Amino acid sequence: MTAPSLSRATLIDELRRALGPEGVIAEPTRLVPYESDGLAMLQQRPELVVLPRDTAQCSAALRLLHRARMPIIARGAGTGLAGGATPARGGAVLSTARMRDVLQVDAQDRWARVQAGLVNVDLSRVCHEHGLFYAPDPSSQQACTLGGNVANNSGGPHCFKYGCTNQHVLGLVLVLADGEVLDLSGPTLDPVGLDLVGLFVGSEGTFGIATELVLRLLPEPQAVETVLAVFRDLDAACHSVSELIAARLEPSAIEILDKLTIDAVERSVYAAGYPREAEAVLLVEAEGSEVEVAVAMRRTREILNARGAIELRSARDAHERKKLWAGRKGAFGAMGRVAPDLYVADAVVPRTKLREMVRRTVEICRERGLRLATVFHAGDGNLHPNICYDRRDADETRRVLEAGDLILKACVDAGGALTGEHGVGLEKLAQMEYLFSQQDLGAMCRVRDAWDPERQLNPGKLLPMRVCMEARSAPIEAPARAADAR
Amino acid sequence: MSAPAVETRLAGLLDASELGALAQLELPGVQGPLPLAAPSTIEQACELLELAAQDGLCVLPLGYGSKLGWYAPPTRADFALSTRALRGIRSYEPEDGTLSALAGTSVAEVAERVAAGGHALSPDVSCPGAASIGGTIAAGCSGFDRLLAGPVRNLVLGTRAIDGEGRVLKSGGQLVKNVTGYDLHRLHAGSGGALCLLVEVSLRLLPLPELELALCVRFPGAELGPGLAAARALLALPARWRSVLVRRAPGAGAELCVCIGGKAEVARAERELALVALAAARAPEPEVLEGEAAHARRCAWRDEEQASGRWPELVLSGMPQRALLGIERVHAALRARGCDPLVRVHPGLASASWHVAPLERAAPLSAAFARELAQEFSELGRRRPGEAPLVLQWRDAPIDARGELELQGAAPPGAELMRRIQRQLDPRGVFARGRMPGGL
Repeated sequence: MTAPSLSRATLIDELRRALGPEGVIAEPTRLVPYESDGLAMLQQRPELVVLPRDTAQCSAALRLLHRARMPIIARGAGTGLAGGATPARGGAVLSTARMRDVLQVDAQDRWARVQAGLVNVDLSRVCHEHGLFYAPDPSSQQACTLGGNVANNSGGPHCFKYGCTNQHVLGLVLVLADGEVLDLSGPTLDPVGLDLVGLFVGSEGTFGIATELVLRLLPEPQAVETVLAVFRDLDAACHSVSELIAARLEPSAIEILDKLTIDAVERSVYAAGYPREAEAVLLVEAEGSEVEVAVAMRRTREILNARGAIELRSARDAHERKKLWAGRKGAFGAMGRVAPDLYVADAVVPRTKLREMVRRTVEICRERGLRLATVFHAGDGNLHPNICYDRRDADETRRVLEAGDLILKACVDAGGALTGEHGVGLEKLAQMEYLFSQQDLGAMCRVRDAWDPERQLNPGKLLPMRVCMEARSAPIEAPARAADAR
Repeated sequence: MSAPAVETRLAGLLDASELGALAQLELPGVQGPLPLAAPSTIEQACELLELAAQDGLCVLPLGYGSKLGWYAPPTRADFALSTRALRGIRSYEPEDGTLSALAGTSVAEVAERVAAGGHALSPDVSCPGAASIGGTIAAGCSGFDRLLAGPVRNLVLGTRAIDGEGRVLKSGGQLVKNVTGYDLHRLHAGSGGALCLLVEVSLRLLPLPELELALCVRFPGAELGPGLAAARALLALPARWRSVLVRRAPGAGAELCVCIGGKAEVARAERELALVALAAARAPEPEVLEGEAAHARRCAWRDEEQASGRWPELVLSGMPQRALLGIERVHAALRARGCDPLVRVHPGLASASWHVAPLERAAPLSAAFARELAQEFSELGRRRPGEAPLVLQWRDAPIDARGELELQGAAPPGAELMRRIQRQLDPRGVFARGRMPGGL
């Protein structure tokens, strides 16, 4: 990177002039809340925080930060769990907290244009009057921002039916590292040329800053039915999920909570009435037309009963349904009652390997004397082994990290990947080479360089630094044989 | 390097059965057909691309070549590299609903294989036996079932591709949910061979319908309006239509074609809903088909797109409100010029295509006529602030008219960034350029 052409003092003055005094935080005590995201074990205080109000201010801020050669880390609500919003040393955080407007709702063509800092659940609230909703529903949706969802290609329980964020983005307005505004807002149903929007979703703040999003809306379903199935055995619950998928049923969500999670939820403010004697509960939901829901649920009940469910409870009304889901979505928060810290792993495997992976995860934690609570998006093969620990205990922390690494290796060995929805961030940098070859990672680095040649945006995240340096500096070399390729 | 010299170089790596010539591509200033290599293994494909990189040759990637006419001719190509001999299903997981197939496998072969396992393959493309799965993904070609299944790029879980240095690169995997690393497979889908040679794709599958139904409403007149109105009534219902098409063949009346597929009980309920809605819209009584007959009719409607012949096809797409106005305008303009095109409108997707029959059917579409149409419609494609853009694309346009027509639409926003990405991934320019919008 070339030398900065702006001193810190001048930078702050210029930023205050461009964003207003409320748009810049430079006092050390006020920077503390920005030191980490949901991965609290990794912390770094930023040099300053900028809070633009709109695309123009974001562009102005980035132009100045670019001149100052300062690393820039985008931050929505900071609910990420992989260190994606952890500041870089000497860097600035660019927060979208002041960009929360709904700019346009087109009810006829079913899309909404919003600013990136709008909270996920607020979009569906606004669209409800048109009989529409926004489908991706991460567990943190009461707090996380839509811009953050785009950065991580966030999922949620209902992405089993509706797909993850990348299937719901029709356009974006982006600001690149040098302040250039790129208007890809369309909206379009299909890209012309390369799918830049599709590529951007999930890029974890390393390509640019999305300031405006054009998002697909769906008609609210005519009917919904939610069933809680109670099992004496976690393995039986997992097996029933495999059967539901093998039967080609299309519920909108399939989630599992294990005994420790149930216990924590029921002792918390998220208490949902889950039976505490259960070893596992399965939460299944079907949405659609009345006939579709009736058919899906009839067949689902048959399978669940055949697989040993000791009880099936249907939510009688919207209130009960909401309560059942609040328990599931509050599970991570509820775990705060069990231990001071929680390592939320994010593993993903083919659905056919779910049971094997659950057993292996239990084994890994038991071997290390760790308490494990598991919640999963069973329909997608996406597990969250939540390992309880106390970060003040260095040895326990070491064992937790070791377990996390072994779980990821086991996932990759089972044909899975490193992350189903939390992203790579800082947390999984070292493991990227479990899954990708040097050439694979080199290609990703080169694509990143096309977006951000000076690597100012979220440096040190998602791709191992060493690989990127080699990709940039190495001459074009004799290629590996195809037989060497994975 | 001359074509004979290229052929000699290729012959050093491949057997005679793996060599050929691509006659259908006419490049400005190039005499004769283009040498074509069709390697049987991924290793051979790597060697060919290494050779191209070392010798400074330019390669045109393709599958079966069914969509060559969708693109502008490349600025340069020394040989074509086809994946047609890279065939086979590498992995099909019926219990997981996913599949990986080599790029040269036909769409029909993949569809047949997964149907045996209780799955449907999307995209449900026209003439699936004449389309490779890799070429289909590279073209970003969504299917006749797009209303239900979504665009093809949403179904691509991962790819393996060979870059301009002959290296095999992986993106994604055979997992329905995965956010590990950049989704380069999203770049590959729809890149038209501008970045790499796709050799393997991994896809999410859909459940095979228990029951297929088809409804066909024939309207007395040639106007599309009544069919579009009836289609709108259906699209407002809480039903998961597989496809809703309004079509009109030259010299015939308009038709509304609806395909339903799913669990038997649900499909029948949706049929009843459709019948009530059509009666309320005062549409003529529909012909209703079930099972094999519905399947056959769906395939006929689907395959008509390719089977109509080599008349140029004008495709318009956009968001519904603006696109439907554009569709009516284009249709009126073509009719006013004496054209009687085969027109197909997917109102739920706001896309339409016209197979623009030449004024004199025996003669090809003239460059002059194409130029007039391009001028007339250029304003439609221009984006106005606050309005969703319309995209106009031409397929299989006559060679001498292609320079007049922006075949894949006007240069898109972000074109410069696209070019930077292309230069990063293919710095030596091994893959033929100039075929895609923005000069990619």
